[in-house]
Amino acid sequence: MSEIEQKPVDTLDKFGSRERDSDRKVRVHLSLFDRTKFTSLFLITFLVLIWAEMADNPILSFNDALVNTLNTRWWLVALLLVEAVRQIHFALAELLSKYHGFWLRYFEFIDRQVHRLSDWTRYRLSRVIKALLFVAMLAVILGAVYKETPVRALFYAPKALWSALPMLGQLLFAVVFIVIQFVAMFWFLSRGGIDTYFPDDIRTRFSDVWGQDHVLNRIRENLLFLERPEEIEKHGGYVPGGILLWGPPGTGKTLMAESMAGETGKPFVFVDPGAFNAMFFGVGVMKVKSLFRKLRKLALRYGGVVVFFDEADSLGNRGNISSGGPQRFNAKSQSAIFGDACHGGNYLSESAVSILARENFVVGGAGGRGGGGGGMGTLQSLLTELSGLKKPRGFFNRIVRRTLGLRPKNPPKYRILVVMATNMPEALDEALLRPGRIDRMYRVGYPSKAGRIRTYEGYLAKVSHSLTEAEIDKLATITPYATGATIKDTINEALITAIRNGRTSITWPDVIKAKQLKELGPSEDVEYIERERHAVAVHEACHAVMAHRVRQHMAIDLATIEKGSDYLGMVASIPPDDQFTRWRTEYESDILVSLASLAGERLFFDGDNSSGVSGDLESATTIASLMEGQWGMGSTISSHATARRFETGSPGGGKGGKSKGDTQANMRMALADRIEQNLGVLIVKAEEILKKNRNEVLALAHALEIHKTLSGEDVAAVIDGTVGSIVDGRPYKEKALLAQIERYHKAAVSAHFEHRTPDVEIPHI
Amino acid sequence: MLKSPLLVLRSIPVVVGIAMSLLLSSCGTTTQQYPAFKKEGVYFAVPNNWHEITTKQLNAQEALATDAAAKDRAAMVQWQDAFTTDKTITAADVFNLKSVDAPVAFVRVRSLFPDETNSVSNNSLRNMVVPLTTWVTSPTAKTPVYEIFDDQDRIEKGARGVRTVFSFTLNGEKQSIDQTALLSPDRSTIYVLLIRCSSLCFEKNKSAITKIAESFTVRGK
Repeated sequence: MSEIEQKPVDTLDKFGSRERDSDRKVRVHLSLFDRTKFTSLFLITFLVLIWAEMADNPILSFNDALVNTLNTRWWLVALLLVEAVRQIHFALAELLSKYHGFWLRYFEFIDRQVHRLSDWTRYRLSRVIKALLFVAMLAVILGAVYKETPVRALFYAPKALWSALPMLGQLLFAVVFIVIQFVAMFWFLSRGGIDTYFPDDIRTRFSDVWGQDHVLNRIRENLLFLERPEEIEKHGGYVPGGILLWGPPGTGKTLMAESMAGETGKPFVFVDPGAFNAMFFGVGVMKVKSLFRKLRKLALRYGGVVVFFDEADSLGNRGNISSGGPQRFNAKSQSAIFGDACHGGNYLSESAVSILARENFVVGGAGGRGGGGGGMGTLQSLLTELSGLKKPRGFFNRIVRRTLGLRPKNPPKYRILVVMATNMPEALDEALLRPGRIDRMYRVGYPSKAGRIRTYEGYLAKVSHSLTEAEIDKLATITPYATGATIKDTINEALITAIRNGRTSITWPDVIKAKQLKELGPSEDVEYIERERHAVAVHEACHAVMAHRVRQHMAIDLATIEKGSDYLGMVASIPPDDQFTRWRTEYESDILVSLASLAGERLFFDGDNSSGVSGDLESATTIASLMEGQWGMGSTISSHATARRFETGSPGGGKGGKSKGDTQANMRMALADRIEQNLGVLIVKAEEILKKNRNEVLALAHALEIHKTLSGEDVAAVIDGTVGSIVDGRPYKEKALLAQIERYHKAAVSAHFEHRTPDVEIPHI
Repeated sequence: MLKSPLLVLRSIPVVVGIAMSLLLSSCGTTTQQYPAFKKEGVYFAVPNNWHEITTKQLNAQEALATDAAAKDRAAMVQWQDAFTTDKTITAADVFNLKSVDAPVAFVRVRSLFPDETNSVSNNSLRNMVVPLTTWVTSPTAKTPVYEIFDDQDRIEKGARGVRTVFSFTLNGEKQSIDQTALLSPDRSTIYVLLIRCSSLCFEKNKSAITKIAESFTVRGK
């Protein structure tokens, strides 16, 4: 029993790992076949030649044929001799470790000498030598067959071959002909979609990409390593082989790639998104293979190559959830928050908006997005090509070197820089993004302010305009999420506006108008009935005044009561500066701004309120819930998200605990109760603030009713009583006007309740 | 598992042996020369030490002829070649019926004129060099002294005809001829091999001459 158990262990000990090549003192013994195959081949060839000689001349004796053949085919004897020498060499190397060691060292030296030639030169040389050898062998064989001089035989062969082809041969040719059609078809199908540009073909330079300096610097670094790989290779590193550029559409990923093509001294291969889509199974794989063959060739020839996959998401994935991939939320337009009467999505900060969107849509990762792209093995073959086995390539390298008893050389270092661009990084396959394939992932975000200014200047330089530097600066400030594409579009829209007004030069109001048009869409030119207009104006004024008073992290971009496609009016805000953390006070002010509409409508319309506040309440509740349940901004600490995951329940019970009235019980109130309580506190606060700013709200509502749309500057001017860009806010501090406005408001309120036209005209300044 | 080094050692002489034997044998030369006219499939073998009078020399010699009929015939020659043991023998001697003291082998492939095609027979093949048939059937006073040693049909793959060995005395010189004259099946071409020298010399080189005559092979087109 114990013996039996012992046995495998013994066996394992005895046959451990296979001895490494470098550990061997002598050559591995050849098998009998390997030892004799060439001798046999040469001898058989020789006998065939003798036989051919004898067949050629019926009176020739074997001896004379042998002698004749020896005289005419002396090279075969030479080959036999070489083979004999080789076998002696092998035998010695198998028996004498010193000889083997010497030979290895000597061959290392030869290899080093050969490697003095550049990879590309060696590649071309080997190609030429291979071709010549092939032609020479063919010529000799044909010469023997057609009894011609080898060179002449080469020219006779095709004709002779065709005429000599027996029936069977011709049938075979027919079969081959059919196969050739398929080969040709596949070859034809596997064309296209891949463009190669050589240095100086493209003129775009890094200096043409504006506002993405941080990414550009990284890319420049990658290119530098590609051009001078020794900088990093001599220190034991390797050239990073893959870059992924991801980010929102229009931020210049493709432009960046184009500038790389212009900037690099290496060929640039552009792969179309649809390049791997194919009608037939396997064509995609073939295309990937031929693409990489081409890349390797270019890499050898020019010392490096850049390949750019545009819209890399078209390559598809294999259907698994890409974990850790950047997530994207772009479902604004479908949300109730963004589609409501007040367009709440616009006055909230971007991060609050994305949180709301996230809450509205169950984020299911990218699961189930299987297939896509080229499919049918295309992605897999791409993955393999990007970092597959470092296998020796080539007929000579693998077959001939092995025949000569040498190990095949590893492939040379192909320096291929893979650049991919996508705005759906989560749609990429996880395996594609691992280091080794894609070493670096850069987010190409919205351009910086400096970049936006540069972009505005760039596009404005192409048209006639009267914008000052300060105005361009301001424009860049109020368009924080502008991309190259949207900036170009805005300027063009401004030009259209100017032309429509009979001018050819763009002015500041044209740009603002264009911006509003682009952001809000065209207004519907609906004339509200007066009392409704006033209600909408008060609603928006409440938001705006609240935002102006309590919210410091956002600035009002514009306020409008012009009805758009999916809103009655809106207050849009922008962050004055880039900020990455959010605080409780900021979220509270967000809620206050949201609740201002409800508080304001109740305050100004004697406790009445419209359904237009639904979206505001939804966003306020969502943020309040997250503050209370997840961000530790409420009375409890534990995270509701975790509690939900572990089903432990929230403090006081998740869905309605019992309020006992004591402090402990208060603290452990149900989450919903706590949220409601927090919102209750905040709406009281909002009401207080609005009460204090009653004059400002009414003044702003008045200004909105008069002007329909106000820029952020004008909103501030009306509230603070200063001079804005189009509205002079100073009269709004005069008591007489305020009294008139108050009177008008009262009339509008009573008209609202009685459903009639207000009997007081809107006061004019 | 490593193989026994003995096996390695044993395999060396095999390979080396084969290579060396081939190398050594390649130093030698063939025992015979094999002139051939492959277009018509005509082959024969002559000993190595025989000296060639090339086709070019023969053609040049024949071109010197002034006789119109001879010129016409020369134009119909496809191939001719001659071998002899004596280097002093020239192309002129080949075309001359004068007795020579060294054996001369002369081969000739010639197309026939239409009238020749119609009239050619085994007898006319025998009359290739001298009018042998006439000598036999209607001897006159002028008929030289002759002797036929052998006369037999010769059937080759690509031709058929007669091989005649005979001697005759002309101008006091006795010479012997081993003559093979064959006709292609379509009667368009004749293949002639003549080996001749003085009777004394012929007797001396009989085995070599017979061997050459027997090696004469016509495969046809």
